[in-house]
Amino acid sequence: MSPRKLGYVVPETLREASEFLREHAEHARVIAGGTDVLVQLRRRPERGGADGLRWLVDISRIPGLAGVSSASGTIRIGALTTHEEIARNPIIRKGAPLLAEACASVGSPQIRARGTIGGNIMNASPAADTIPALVALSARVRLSDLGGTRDILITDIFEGPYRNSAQPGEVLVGVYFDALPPTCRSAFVKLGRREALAIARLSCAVVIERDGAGRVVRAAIAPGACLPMPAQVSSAEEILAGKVPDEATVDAAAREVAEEMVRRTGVRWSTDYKKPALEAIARRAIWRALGVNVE
Amino acid sequence: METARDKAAKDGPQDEFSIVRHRAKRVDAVEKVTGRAKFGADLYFDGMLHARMLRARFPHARIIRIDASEARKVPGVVAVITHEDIPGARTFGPVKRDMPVLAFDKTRYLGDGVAMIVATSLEAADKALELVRVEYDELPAVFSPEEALAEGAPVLHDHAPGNIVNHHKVRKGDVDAGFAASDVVTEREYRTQFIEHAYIEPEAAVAVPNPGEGSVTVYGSIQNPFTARRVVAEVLGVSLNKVRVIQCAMGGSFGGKDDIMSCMCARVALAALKTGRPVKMVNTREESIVEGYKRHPYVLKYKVGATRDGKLQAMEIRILADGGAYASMTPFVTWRSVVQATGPYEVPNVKTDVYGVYTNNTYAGAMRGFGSPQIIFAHESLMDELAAELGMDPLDLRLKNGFRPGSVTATGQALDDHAVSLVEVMQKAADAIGYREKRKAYSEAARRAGTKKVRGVGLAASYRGVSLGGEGVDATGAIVSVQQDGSVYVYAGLAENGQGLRTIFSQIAAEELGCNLEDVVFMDTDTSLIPDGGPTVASRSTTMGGNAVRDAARKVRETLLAVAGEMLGTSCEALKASGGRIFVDGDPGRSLSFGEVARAAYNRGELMAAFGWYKGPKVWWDEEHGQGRAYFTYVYGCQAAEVEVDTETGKVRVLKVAAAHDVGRAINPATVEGQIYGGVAMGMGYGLLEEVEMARGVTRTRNFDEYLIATSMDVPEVIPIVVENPDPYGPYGAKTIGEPTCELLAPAIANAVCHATGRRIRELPLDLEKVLLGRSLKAARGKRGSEQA
Ligand SMILES: Cc1cc2nc3c(=O)[nH]c(=O)nc-3n(C[C@H](O)[C@H](O)[C@H](O)COP(=O)(O)OP(=O)(O)OC[C@H]3O[C@@H](n4cnc5c(N)ncnc54)[C@H](O)[C@@H]3O)c2cc1C
Repeated sequence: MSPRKLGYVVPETLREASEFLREHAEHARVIAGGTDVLVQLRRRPERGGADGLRWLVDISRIPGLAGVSSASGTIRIGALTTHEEIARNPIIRKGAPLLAEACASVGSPQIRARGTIGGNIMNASPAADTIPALVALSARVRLSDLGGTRDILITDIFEGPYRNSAQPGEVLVGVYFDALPPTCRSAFVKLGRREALAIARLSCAVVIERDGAGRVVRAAIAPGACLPMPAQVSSAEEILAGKVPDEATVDAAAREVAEEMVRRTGVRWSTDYKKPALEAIARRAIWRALGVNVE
Repeated sequence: METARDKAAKDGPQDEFSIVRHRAKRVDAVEKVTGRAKFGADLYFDGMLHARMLRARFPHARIIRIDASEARKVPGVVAVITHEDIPGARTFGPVKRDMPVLAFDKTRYLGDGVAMIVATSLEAADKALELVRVEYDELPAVFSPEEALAEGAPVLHDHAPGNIVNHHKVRKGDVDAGFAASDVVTEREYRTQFIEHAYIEPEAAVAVPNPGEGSVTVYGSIQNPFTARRVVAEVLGVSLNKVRVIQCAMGGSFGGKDDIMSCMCARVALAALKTGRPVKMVNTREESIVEGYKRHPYVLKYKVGATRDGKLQAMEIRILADGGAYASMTPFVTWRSVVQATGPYEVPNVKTDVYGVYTNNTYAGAMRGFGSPQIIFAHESLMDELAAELGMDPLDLRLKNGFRPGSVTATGQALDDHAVSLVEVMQKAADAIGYREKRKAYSEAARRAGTKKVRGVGLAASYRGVSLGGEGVDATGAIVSVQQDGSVYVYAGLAENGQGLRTIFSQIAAEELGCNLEDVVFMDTDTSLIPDGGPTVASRSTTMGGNAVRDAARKVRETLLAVAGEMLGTSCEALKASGGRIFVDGDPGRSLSFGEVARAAYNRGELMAAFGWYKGPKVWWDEEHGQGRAYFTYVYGCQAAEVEVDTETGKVRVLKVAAAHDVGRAINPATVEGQIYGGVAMGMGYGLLEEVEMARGVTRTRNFDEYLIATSMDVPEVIPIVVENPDPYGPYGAKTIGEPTCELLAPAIANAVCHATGRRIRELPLDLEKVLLGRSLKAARGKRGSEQA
């Protein structure tokens, strides 16, 4: 397939970007690291490729979109921050270690050095590694448009596999969440077919907060690569809530994650595999978030 | 573990050699790592046009009409070429001439080319592709050998009414008597998958018309320039000397740039002659995977009988090979399979039948291993299964039956003129991995319940015929040409494919001449400069081509020593040449530099170039009785793997591999190890990850997001064990290393996984689903990833 002829614009402000994106609507698309967009351009338009695309809008010159910061317990990650930066960032490693793990598991060094968290969210792949972590952190995303900005829950940005709910003109500027307190532990466990450059076959992000007695005060469990829409599995979280988890409790919660997946997706060609494997992945993630390494 | 000899072979400066057996740096390393090497797609010529293929819409259909009138109108389109434009042969093929350059009567798989657009830009060509109207009459199709052999199955080729490409057999003794004499008889079925060569560089070729009528030069990523030349000449209907094929730097081949490149070369040559302009074609990765031939999937039924103490009595084997749409190398690939199907074991009674079968899948052909990885997966899985039934250790069973000096193979060949080192390689690989201890320790660990991750060890062994064997003519040539300043050109009929041939041939030339390696330049392979020396296949380059280079270099050395003898006032028998100097043996003070001697020889009008030729020792094959001296010599190899299996997810991690290979003589220990590392990585992909998924002829895995090969993070510690038992035929005793390295690991892993989990998996690859569930889920899966491309 020949390379497609595309226009390339490099706005210097969010306003310029939004104006251009509004004007060209479905003919224009943001490019951040390009690790998803450029792959999609290879596909024929009629087979899910970037149909009708004429413009790429490079947002890398817009100031203020990259980097990690924290203020009064809230961590902000700019949309253009790369997986590599997030994985190494001390604020993240302390305040959201599961996200550092998720970013460290993405692709390969080359992909982590280019791919951004904004691209990972907006591409909305069911197998995106940062998404379960952000869901478990109850993160909010900030979208900017000509009229200003709006914040929505991470789960509300998804409309389905590879579909986000942003309006033409909207640019994701960042993602926000509360830093996990010292009473919290977290884990991100990913199963891929190989040790690098492996899209998640399954993953699970877990955050657990416990009181002084070891009782679970808060649990968030978000599996990846297996639900129609990114979400927490509250029925499994409830199993842990208020308990000092023992083996039976953890097993029950993990089993519930797998059973909930089947309820949400129905039985598919892959269910025979995914159900037991997700149960194992969820169990490992829960134990790790309880401070026990069971692998 | 490492013996003194292994260590000496690793460490460098050796006994009688000064360049051979040294870890010389690859002569093409710098140009490759600096990006200066020119690959096919890097070539540009003035006025060059671009060609793109329209491929088949149905895996099996009759072509009623091709209407390119609209496509021709697209601005920038210079020509639309179909089968009607072919002046010469419309079909080609190494054994059966059954493959169309451009489909004319039917399409038989989705990679078939139906029309070629030639345009001034790729954009114009792409636009025109959409406008070619092809009217088809879709035909019923077959997608597995079983379907193809069923009664009343649709027929792909008129010349093969039962869809059989070929049937090879081996007959030895009386299998019924053998089974009757057995205490244990085990029957098993194994299956292997389509796999892709996955070279980093997709196919590329450029044809440039020459001034003479009907004459053309073709450049490209061509594994076998002489094969390509023959196909181009036949398709153009011109004599061989009108076609010049020049090989570019190769971004890998692994056997995969043979037929497909002959076809691409013929296509661009047609286009160049039709338009009178240079024409270039480069496949995308997706096209490469859809069009390119694959390693054959096999269905292998094995029946083995043994006495209670583990002595093999009989084997009966029936194999179906999915050859896909065209015969390609299927007859030769399956011939190697039939010869080696019983593995490196003494089996008194053998009955083997191997069938190559046409289907409407992508065709299968040559790939590193060439019919051995499939049968080795089967016979080495079977040996472990039989050992389990006999209550024996798998290694002991192998040692009990393995070839020894003088053993007779299934084809009746006595192994009596080379070192039969099977026992040596098995013991070395087993020791290096700690087989005996771990075999015991891990079984006990597994019995302690509760562990989610379990470990196992397993191994696999093979013997392999060197070079082409009974497949055909086995001879090749080289030219060594010394210049007046002492620098050297080497030309060879065999070609660099990335395997390191330039380095090995340069080392041999320098060793024989006594010059320095830096003084040798290996020239690109150009069919107009050197006689046809057959294809670069079958791991034959070092053995065959190495002998030819040596022959040529020795002839030149004689001339130079005669001149030097006169200059030093001594007989040439008293002289030695080494390290860039020619000197009196035992009196190195009396010496001349290689360059001084070359200049003197030049001034005296001596011929300082020579042609070398080597014809392989005699082999024979009796197709009727399935017996013969199949290959003139064999190599022996054993790989052992230690694995960890996650019993909750099915994930297998290979922790360590020990690979022991008898290479005869390591001309360059570093490149031998390189072959071992690469072969192990490929073998690991075959065992755990790789599978070209085809659903009713449609390739689902079209890029490397879906077709997974092992990454550097997956490949474990590899312990290369280079065993050297010099062979009477090869140069300095050297044999083969390229293919044996990639044929052993898949069964070694399967055996290790079975040791760890107790579950035997008889179908490759051992992916997550199969290891967890014991069965594949792929057949039922939905669309994803690159499939949409
Ligand atoms: C070889 C390879 C391996 C990979 N491995 C993984 C992996 O292991 N795990 C994983 O999760 N992903 C993986 N990916 C996918 C990809 O790298 C990630 O999703 C990455 O985070 C995308 O970021 P990007 O900046 O490159 O996005 P881009 O390709 O630039 O953009 C992706 C999408 O998001 C939109 N977009 C980007 N930024 C914004 C913004 N600020 N506002 C609005 N829209 C925006 C773009 O328009 C586009 O639709 C892999 C990709 C490749 C090529």
